[in-house]
Amino acid sequence: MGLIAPRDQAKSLKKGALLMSEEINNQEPGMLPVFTMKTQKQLNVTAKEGSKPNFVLDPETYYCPWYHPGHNFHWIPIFNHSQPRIPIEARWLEGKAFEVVVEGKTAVWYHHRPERLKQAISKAQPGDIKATVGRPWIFISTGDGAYAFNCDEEPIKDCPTKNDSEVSKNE
Amino acid sequence: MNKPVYTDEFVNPVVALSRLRTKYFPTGNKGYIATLGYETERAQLKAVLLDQYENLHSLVDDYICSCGLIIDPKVNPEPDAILKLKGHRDHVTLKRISYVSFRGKLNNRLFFKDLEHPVDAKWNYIVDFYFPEIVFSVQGENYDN
Repeated sequence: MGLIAPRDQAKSLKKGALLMSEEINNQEPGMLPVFTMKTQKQLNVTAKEGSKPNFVLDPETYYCPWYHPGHNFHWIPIFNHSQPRIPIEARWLEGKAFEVVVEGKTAVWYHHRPERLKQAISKAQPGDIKATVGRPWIFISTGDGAYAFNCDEEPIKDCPTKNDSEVSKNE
Repeated sequence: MNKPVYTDEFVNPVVALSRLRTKYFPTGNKGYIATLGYETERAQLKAVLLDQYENLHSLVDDYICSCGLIIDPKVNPEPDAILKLKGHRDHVTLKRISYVSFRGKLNNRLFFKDLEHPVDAKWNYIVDFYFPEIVFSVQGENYDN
């Protein structure tokens, strides 16, 4: 379902970017309320000035319609509930599991796209891996923004295939 | 502060959908009024089912969220009250949740293909109202939420 709500002030945005009024995200002035669903990346003010990212992840071609914990990120929690963010340590364990150390406490979080998160962790500089306080949400800074990874503290279900989704819609 | 009020009408959409035909056409005769009621309720339940499946929230009636939260228009007359109210719950566990992810704009989600259902129209208006500068680019399927 393609939806278009063109606005003059948003013409310069890249395709796929979501722009909201900047007052919504006022807790961390660096981050913009711009979140690209395709790359699951939130941009910051330096992106507006044309800065280049430190690294780029492969474009997201993976199909998953779910917004449950551990799956896709929705922009409302990112813009309204993802602050403050604190540095964490993260490393891949096995499958979809990652070991994270948050404020000295070790936990296991799960993400539906472990390869992508592994790739981001491997490319990130020390200190660039952050998480929202009290929530299993990982943000990996790239200089011009941060890739967002919605994790869950419990093991997550496998993502549905396109056929599963059609069944659900037509039930 | 008023306690949130819920309806359990949409709690188990799969079961409700399976019983719908018997409910509206117990004798097998399809009258006009019964068909209209059947199609309306079926559209609502399918919308709830999809919301439950994707873990998103939206209106399924003028004042009812797909999670069952009911707005009293006398207490909360603003059109976007459904987005601001605290009290939304998980579709499945029915536990209160700390944040909600709302569905984006819709295109004939609730009713016949060539007509825009009033609830769809209201929901699209709310999205425009609450996210005045949001831009939905055409990204193909799955990026319109």
